[in-house]
Amino acid sequence: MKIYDLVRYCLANLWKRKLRTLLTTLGVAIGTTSIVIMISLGVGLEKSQMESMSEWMDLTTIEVYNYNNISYDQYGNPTVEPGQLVLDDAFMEKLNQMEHVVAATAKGSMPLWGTYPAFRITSGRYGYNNNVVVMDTSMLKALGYELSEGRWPKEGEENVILFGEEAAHYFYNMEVTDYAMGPEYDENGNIKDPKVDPLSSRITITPQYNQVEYDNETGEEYLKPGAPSELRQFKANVVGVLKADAKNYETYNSIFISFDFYHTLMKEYNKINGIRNTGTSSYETAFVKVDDMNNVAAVQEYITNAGFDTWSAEEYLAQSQETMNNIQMVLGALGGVSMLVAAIGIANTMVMSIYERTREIGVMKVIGCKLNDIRMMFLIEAACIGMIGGVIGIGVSYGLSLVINHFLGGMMGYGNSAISYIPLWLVALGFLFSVGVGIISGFYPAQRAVKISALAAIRQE
Amino acid sequence: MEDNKQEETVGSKDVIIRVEDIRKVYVLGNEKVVALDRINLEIYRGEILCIFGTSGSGKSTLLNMLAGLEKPTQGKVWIGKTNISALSENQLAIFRQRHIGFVFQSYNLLNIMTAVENVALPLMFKGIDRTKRLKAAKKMLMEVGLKDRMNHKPNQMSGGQQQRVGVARAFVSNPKIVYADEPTGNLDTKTTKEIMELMVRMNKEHNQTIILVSHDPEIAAYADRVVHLIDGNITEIEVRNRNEGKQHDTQIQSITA
Repeated sequence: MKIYDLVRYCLANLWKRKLRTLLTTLGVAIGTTSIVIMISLGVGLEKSQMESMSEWMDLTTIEVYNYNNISYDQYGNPTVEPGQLVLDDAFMEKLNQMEHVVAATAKGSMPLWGTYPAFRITSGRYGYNNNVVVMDTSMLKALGYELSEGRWPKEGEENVILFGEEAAHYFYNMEVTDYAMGPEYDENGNIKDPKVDPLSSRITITPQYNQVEYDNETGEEYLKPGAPSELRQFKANVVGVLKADAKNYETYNSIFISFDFYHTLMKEYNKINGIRNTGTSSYETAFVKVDDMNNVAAVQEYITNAGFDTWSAEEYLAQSQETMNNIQMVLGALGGVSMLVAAIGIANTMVMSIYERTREIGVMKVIGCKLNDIRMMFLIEAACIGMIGGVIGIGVSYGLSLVINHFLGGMMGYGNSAISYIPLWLVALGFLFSVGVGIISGFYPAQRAVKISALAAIRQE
Repeated sequence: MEDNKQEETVGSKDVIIRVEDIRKVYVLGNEKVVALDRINLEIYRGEILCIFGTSGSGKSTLLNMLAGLEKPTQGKVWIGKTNISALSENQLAIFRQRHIGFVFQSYNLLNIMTAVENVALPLMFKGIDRTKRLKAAKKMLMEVGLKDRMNHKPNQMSGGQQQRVGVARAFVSNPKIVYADEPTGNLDTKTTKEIMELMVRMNKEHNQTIILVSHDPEIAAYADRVVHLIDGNITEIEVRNRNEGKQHDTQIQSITA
């Protein structure tokens, strides 16, 4: 028999017993609805948790640390013992070549603190000593930073620096104080203009002579003789101001300096302080941006295997993902109970229908219907019940989901994110599950139909 | 010996069904009931054969054996070159699909289908396209004189009309053999005559073999040969010249037992 004829015949039979079909279908619809709605609650929960997570952490970045392999000399400069693992340009290059890595840059900081800092950042009588991030500024854009003013650095540009959105507010009047607390407010509660304008003020960085000695008796610190008569000032080329991003506090209050500029400054610092370059250098930390959340684990594993310590939101994610999966499974299983009842309903309907149609089945066998076609007739009929129930169930689920989100969403203060969310995969799952349940419930009745003796069936008068 | 004699009588006719030494024993509790006892029979292409007997004579059992609906306890049934007693249930279904048509006493039409769809049913089982098979079914319904009942459901038709549909269904796939178990058992005399004449006409037009089962001499009168069954034994095979149902030239053959 042609499949088209089988389906047509099944639908005709279902149509003939409309009420029974409707009631059985209703059972499947309720089963499907309860599964889909239950899982949609789990998915909604997962989604809102993901959303809140991604608000306060970047889910696609990995931080790499190499503190354990680095020791510091007396001036606080990182040094690496021979044979120790180094986080160097070669490794960064390797990371940048890796699949799924969008951008990777080493990150360092610049010592600006204490009575004798290594560098001073100034603009006229204003100074800045908050936080400096040394990194590959050409990668800022790729790493996901955004600009609020100015532009991205150009290739080959020298002395590049960029400001965090509020970094200008951290410039303080050096004649009055020695630090700044950040943005200041006037009596009306409005933010006062910062002391400097990043894009137009002249900002310089000056490497300092800071060879100090301790007086063992008084415990006081003083500069050793040998300071140069004049300190060389380097004019910073401020190309832009970054937009503040809640996921990264550095975008608020830090200044970002390119490696090139940092190396220039370091060279001058080493020169005036009489420090010879040891040759081996390692970055303390690095920052790796991955294309997709799901690829974080793989990239992170690679870095960890290379011997570095890493951190990403992945650990939190994996943990919460597992919890969420468990919750979804439990909810799905709860919904599954009503599906089980529906399956029994289908089997019952089919057995009854076969009992009523014993004669019909016998006649069909006598006039040449193959056993396999008989089996298919009943399997398809059961599958149709499952399918129709599934489609109705999915429709009802969408409606119910809307109702839940409309009434409960506001009440529970979830804000914008939905309590119940039905992704496409859940629709597919609900549909396939209901059809599958139909077919499975149809196996036994179909087998019964196949076993009906043609002769006994036509004998019964 | 007797077999040879029989062949001589009928001349050069093809044997389409050969029954070899069939025995059917039913076990009912501790009792054994012999329904058919060592039956030997040859049925010829194109003839109308009536298996005639009272109820309990084993006539329906014999028909079931001939149609492969039941397996003999012993012996073989050959249809053409196929021993149908050795076929599996699935093979039998395919065999019936290709070579056999059925007319039932209680019509056995499917109520959810119209007359045309019912007639087209054997073709549907064969996997023939809907348009093609409905065309064939319509042609068949015209032949049985149900031109204006094509799209009626069985419950909208009289018994005689339903049996016409039944006859059309049996002949639609142009089978070699058509079996009819008490085809007019539920019909009045006038309709019985119509149905029987219809079947005889079909037999003539399409040169098909028809095997009837009946306890009614009026029905047996339409047959070319009548096999009398008593208590599972063939007691006589009557050869007739079919002539509008009138009995002529009755020739009684010896018993094959």
